[in-house]
Amino acid sequence: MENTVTVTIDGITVKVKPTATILEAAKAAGVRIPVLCADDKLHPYGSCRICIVEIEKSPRKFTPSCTTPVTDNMSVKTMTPDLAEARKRILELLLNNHPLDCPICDKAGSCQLQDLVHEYGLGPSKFTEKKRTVAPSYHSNVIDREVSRCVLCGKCVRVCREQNAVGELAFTRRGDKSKVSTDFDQPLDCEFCGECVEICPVGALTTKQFKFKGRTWNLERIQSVCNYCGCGCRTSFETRLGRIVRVRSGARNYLCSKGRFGWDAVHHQDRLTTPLVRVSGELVPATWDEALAMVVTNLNVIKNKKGADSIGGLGSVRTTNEESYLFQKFMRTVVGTNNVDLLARLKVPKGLNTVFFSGELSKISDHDAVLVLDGDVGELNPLMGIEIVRAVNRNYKKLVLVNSGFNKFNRLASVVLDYLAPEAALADLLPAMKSGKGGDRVVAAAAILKEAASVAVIIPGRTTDKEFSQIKELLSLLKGVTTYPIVRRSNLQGAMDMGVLPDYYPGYQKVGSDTMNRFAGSWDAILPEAPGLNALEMLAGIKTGKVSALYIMGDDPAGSDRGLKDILNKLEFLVVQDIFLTETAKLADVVLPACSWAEKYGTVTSLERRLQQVSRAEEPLGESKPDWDIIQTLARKMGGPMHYGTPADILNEIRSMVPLYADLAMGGIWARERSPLAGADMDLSLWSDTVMKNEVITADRLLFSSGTMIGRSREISTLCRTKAEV
Amino acid sequence: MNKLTKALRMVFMIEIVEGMTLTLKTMLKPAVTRQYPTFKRKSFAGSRGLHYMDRDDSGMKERCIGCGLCEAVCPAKAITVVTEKGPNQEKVVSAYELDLLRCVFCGFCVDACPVNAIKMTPNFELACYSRRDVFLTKDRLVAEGDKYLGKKKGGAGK
Ligand code: SF4
Ligand code: SF4
Ligand code: SF4
Ligand code: SF4
Ligand code: SF4
Ligand code: FES
Repeated sequence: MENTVTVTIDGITVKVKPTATILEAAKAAGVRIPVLCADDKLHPYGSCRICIVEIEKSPRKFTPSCTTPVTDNMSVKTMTPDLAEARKRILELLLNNHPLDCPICDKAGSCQLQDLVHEYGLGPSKFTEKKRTVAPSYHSNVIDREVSRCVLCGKCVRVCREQNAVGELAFTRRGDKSKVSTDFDQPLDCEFCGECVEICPVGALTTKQFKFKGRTWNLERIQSVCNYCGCGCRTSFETRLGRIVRVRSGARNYLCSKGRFGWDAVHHQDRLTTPLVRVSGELVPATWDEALAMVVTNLNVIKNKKGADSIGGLGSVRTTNEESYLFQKFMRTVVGTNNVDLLARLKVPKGLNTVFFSGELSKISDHDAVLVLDGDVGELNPLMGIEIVRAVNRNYKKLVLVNSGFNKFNRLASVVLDYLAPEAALADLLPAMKSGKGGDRVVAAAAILKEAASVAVIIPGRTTDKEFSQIKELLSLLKGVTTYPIVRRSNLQGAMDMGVLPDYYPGYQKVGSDTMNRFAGSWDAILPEAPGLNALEMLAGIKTGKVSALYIMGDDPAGSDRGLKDILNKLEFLVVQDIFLTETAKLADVVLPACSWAEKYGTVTSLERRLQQVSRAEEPLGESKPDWDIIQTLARKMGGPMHYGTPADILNEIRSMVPLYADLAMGGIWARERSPLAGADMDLSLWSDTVMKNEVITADRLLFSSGTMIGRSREISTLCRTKAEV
Repeated sequence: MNKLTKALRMVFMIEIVEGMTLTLKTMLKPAVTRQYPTFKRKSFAGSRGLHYMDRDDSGMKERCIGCGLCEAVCPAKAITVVTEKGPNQEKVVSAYELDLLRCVFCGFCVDACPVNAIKMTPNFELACYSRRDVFLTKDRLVAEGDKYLGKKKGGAGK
């Protein structure tokens, strides 16, 4: 059987797959067919009939192109006077029940119906009947439904079911009373990703956040990256008069609720706008000069009194690569200690960057089978969850799910291993893989996994030592494995790549005498020889008096673990650099206001190890400054040679110092084989039975919670029914 | 014309006499120049001057629905329309700003408006001492409308 067929579209001959539709063939031929209800993300549906074409020698006059597969030597006309007339009538019928609110409709300007009516030049309608009006629904969180504007294309219903596997929306009622609604017309109770709003071809679904904030043609679009989880979705900030009014996907892909709606934390009224210093027990506003002078004096005093190793630095996963790089360089060259680490390492998946490198998310659905070892993946890394759904719903791949609860993946899975912990599931699965013995379910799961020529394995964000070794053993039994560790923290990968680690220089170059000499030469500084204290040792060191001062950039340990408050209080001197007055900042002696990620340039590295550009959409608020600028100014005041004009200068230095980044193009992924740690059977995570043992969950669903920023998003906070501390 | 006539015309200063005749004749005719600003001419229909904003049917607020089409069409980028959501989910025009210093009085905004909210008076006398005076806000535009329409209706407006 040949695997292409020849089709002629408007005289252009193309070869396409036999499974392609006429619409896809037309796309390949570069011919545009108007559509309303078809979308690349969805299976063909065929409800609007705008995409009709004429097929030569067909008994049928018009054929919908989006649902009709091609046949060999088919010849198709996409535009004839008859077709134009027919499409006009279709539009006229649609408009017959359409309110034509264009002047006050937020979709105007990017509305497919408006565009088509304009293109086909409809005049006054023949119909004089009264228009159907359906009451709008404003009672859901985040999303409004102007039901009268709906053209019943079904895209929202389908994207929610096919792509998200949520299935919150459905058509209710019949005939001209049909409408898109929820069960019993209740308010939405879903993941609130806003994908339905995004995919609606008209203005029937709108977000409360953007409502009446601007017209689409007035918006400026700035490409950036989401900062709420490791997936690193590309976003597009849309601004009006210099302020962000909406965020959409920058890659026509998916955004979850945090990425789409959570940006409003940037506009929160509690943002820090001036530096604060502690004067007789109170934090009072100060100028940059005063605040920085206080940092310089205190750090110098402590350094002279107790040595540089009594100062520690905690970096952040929310800052850019450039800032992380500069932070560790500042600690190593200016302060003179290797005590620099990330508390977020407590949450790093075991084996990340050593045994478990992540594959590309978009390739999950190419594997024959997907093994999910943590059922919460959809809440922790939403995009990863979507890719798993796509594997099943679009590519019909098999899913083996280990899940203690019940969620959307249970409905998709071929086999569900219902165990309380992955450890127990793996304990049963391993023997089943090896000898075929065990319960029905594990045997079925083992059969699927053994049969698959390639398996995508979703590695839990946190595993015990036992599970770690079990997973390693399991992987050796599978063919074509790609691992996907769940990385909740946004720029964790970047911060680690940049060497915010006590025992590694940037690019995972182990601290030792020869690396030290090399870095000392390039940085033109004297570097400490011994590896520094890790985050946990630093906290322990505070108790014993070994560590007297901490510099915390963009992290909130006291907010994540109330127990750390007392420890941090013991410090002689604490500097916190953040965008909010966090619990930790409240304990600080000097608080330096950083600007948010929407107000600065830089790069971040996603869990796929993809380098991506963050861009400024707004001016920095008040006197706040980008973190890199703060560190550089401080370094100069302390006599460190730092002269960078822009983050791009820092990136150039990173490229010269870190082989992994040397020729990494923007949007490119650094190859795992090149990492000095590739294949090393070791673990970069930290483990503590006390510190940050319990995560402070600010929302009733993991999906809506992720710390300092998201907790201050108004839109997201409306999604949380209860506030619980777990 | 031969040389002789030419010489005679020169001797008797015929050209000057002719010119002076015209001058003296014109002196006796009524003047065509209008003594602006003492005397003002009635404006022509469709003349384009200072903008104003009409009130809606209730008379309580501006007619503008905040569609931004005037802003989109304005070739001089003189208009900014800022809207927000009102308490009853309606579109509220929170600011309508027209910078007359940018305006070229093309009248496109008037043509674009789907609800005939922004209109123009024939008033072209817009000189002023401060830039702020030619920065028209929504309230000023509505007030201009009241002033203008009131005048047109014979002083009935406020
Ligand atoms: S959905 Fe489109 S056609 Fe309908 S009112 Fe909005 S912009 Fe106009
Ligand atoms: S709400 Fe929008 S996407 Fe959903 S059926 Fe109606 S027109 Fe289509
Ligand atoms: S999946 Fe992650 S990166 Fe993507 S939008 Fe959501 S929080 Fe942001
Ligand atoms: S008259 Fe012309 S230039 Fe002046 S505001 Fe209107 S559209 Fe702009
Ligand atoms: S065109 Fe008319 S209704 Fe639209 S914003 Fe301008 S004045 Fe308001
Ligand atoms: S796009 Fe083909 S029927 Fe709607």
